[in-house]
Amino acid sequence: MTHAVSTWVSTPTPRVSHHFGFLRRLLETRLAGAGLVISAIVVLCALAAPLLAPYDPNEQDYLALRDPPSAAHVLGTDDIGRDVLSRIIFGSRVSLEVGLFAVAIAIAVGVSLGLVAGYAGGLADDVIMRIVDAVQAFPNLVLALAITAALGPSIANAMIAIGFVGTPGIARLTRGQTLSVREREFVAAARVCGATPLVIMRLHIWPNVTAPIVVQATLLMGTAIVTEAALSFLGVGVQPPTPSWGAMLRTGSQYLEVAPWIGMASGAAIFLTVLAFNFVGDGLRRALDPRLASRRRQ
Amino acid sequence: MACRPSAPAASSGAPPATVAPIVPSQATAPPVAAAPTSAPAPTASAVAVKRGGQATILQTNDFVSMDPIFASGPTAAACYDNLLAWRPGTDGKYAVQPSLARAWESSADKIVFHLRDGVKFHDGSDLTADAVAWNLNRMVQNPKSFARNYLSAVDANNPTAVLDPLTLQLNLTRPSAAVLANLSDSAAQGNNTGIVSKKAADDHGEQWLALNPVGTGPFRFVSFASGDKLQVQRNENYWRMGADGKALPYLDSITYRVIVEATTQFNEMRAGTSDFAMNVLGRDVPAAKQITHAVYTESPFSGNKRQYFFNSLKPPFQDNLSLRQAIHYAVDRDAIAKAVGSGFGFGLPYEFVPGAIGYDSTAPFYEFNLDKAKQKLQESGISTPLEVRFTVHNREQDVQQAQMIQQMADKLGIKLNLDVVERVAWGEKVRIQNDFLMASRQSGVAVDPTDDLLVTWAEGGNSAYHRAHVDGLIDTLHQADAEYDTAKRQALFVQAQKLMYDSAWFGYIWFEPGNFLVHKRVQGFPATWGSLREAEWWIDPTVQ
Repeated sequence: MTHAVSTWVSTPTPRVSHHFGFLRRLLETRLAGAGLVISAIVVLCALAAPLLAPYDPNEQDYLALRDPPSAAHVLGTDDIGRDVLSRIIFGSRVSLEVGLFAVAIAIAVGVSLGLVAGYAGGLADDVIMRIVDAVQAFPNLVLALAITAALGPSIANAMIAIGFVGTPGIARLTRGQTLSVREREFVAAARVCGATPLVIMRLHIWPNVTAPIVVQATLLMGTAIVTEAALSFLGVGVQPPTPSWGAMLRTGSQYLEVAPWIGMASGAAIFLTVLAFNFVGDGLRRALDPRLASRRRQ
Repeated sequence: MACRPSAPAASSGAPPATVAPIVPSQATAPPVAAAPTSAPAPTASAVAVKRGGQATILQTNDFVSMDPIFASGPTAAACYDNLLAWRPGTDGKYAVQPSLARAWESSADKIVFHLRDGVKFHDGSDLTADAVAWNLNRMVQNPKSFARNYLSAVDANNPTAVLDPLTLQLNLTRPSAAVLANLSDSAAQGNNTGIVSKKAADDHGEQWLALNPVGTGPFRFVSFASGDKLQVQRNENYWRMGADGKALPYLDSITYRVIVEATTQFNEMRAGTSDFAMNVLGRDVPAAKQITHAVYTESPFSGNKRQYFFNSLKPPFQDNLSLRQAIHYAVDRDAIAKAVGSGFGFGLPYEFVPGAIGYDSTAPFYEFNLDKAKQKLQESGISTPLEVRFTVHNREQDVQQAQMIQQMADKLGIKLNLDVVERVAWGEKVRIQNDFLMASRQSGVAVDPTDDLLVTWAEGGNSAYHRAHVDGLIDTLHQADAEYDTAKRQALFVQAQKLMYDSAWFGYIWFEPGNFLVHKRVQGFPATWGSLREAEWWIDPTVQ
């Protein structure tokens, strides 16, 4: 019954043409297209790292310490003779892994809190949002540093820390959307039909607030990758010898004069990946924003 | 300088064939010799010296405690004097010289110190035999004292006797060649034996001294911000005279800045915003030599030995000699020296460094041999893959070499999981809590190796390493400490080296000679070994 109510309010658009339309709108901006291509390359590197990397990322060649780029090592070697390209390729795994898990944590916790705060209102809203305010008062990196320092440096703890600092933004956004959606007729109808708050939030509100959260999650992905790199740069993120762009950048910064390729390669990888996710997020925002869509129609 | 070495040559597998003199073999002054009674003459020329100005000194490690006996790293050394000083004598050889003690007489069971008259602590109290006796007592009797590690020959039950207001007696349980050197301001050990004000401790409690150094030194404490900087200013009442006939020091103030990153330190020096840095990394040495406004000096005296060790109280290394030996054979120390030292440093398979007493290139060592490593692993009965936690400092070079050892051990099927921790946390985990399986460390070149080795091979206590018992080793070290004949001492240390090799608790990796980078405006920097002697520094205002 409640599901029927939800279906009743949705626009009866053919599914295939809806998807094509969305893709067309997404690719209307070239930057989003470029972002998608770069993101796809990063994802491909992460998935097929053992096939794409020319060397084992941890294999040390003591006869090729800090070798500049050459045919044997396209991006050169690092301070202890490891192939930089291979470590960049394997490093994409860490960046995406941390990014995805951190975003998943932020969405799982943030959406839950935002839905409850927005739908329930009153004291629950006040308590949840004051906690969110308190967490947001800390700079993200400082908070993530404090958490990893407390939990200990590891990839899992980096995910938890980054996910935690991303949670307030998602919670605040979800609450705002929920406040708007909960006043809609279909929600009132579901309530009249006897749906429990949990069912209303899950089946009627959540599907109608996903668009901005998807956009926010994409942007958060870029932030998570930068934060992971920053934590690893500071030595409290991913631990050696696991390839991590942030840790490579740290090493590169120490050898900037004698082996600039170490830092440049990892820096470029971070820069391009984060830029790509931001482009995609921006494209998604434009594609999913009904105001921009109506403007396009006019 | 008679004991200034040439740069040691890089080795190839075996220890260097040509031994460069790093440390004088007679490192310690014969304890029975009467000491000169005059104060050491400052080296600066009376004509050239300029007074005033301030200097900025960079250091890697933060101050854990500025109370000398609890300092596991640097302390506010410029605020303190030691009973003795470690200086070149008239013959150019380093030896103990007078400082707060103007003279001393040694015998097999005691040393009598005659203190300098008229010396005052920064809080206005007088240097007396009572105050010094209180210092020596806490050095050897406080269970958390690091100084006690270097004074193992002192009778802990009855350390001192005050003979008159300016004379006291230090009681020994055995003859010791090392005690005098360790009571001097020589390098690391000297940090722990600075003399603090008893009055300050009485007035504020001993804990207060950790953040408020009060000594008789040339500079008095101004402020300290943990992880940032220590500031000290001129002690107007300092007892030593400068070359211009006035009291030292020449400088008005010094700022010690804590900068962990070697690259940042180097860039500070290159920018000319700091005056002194030591242990410039090998990769930066070529650039350091090109800095026009600074002087680059190499000094193996202040170099660092890089080593790793196993926990004797926990499996898998406990009771498994073959496993320990397997790892030793798997470590390619020359490759590590080359990669981490960037050409500055050499593989060192021994505890003792070339030129130091105890060094003998004919002594056995574990050469890099993967076949032998695999054979030893088989003999160990350990099934692979074996996971081992490897606790290392977060210093750049420590992490680099740890990753290399990790890769080398991986060839045996031993997976070393790096536990990278900050320096203070490393000390807490490894030396105090015994919460490690395998760990790495760096160690300086001790003026006299005896007490340093007694600490390194201690079977317990708050600052032990592997905590293993090695039959005969401690006795051998005690014999070496009691022996004043250089040839006999050398033989005893070689014997000790053999026992260390047989037990295989320590892995010796490489040696990184020390170096200094000093701004040209700083004059009077004479130290190549031991304390920095900031009292004798002065700023040439004509140099920018």
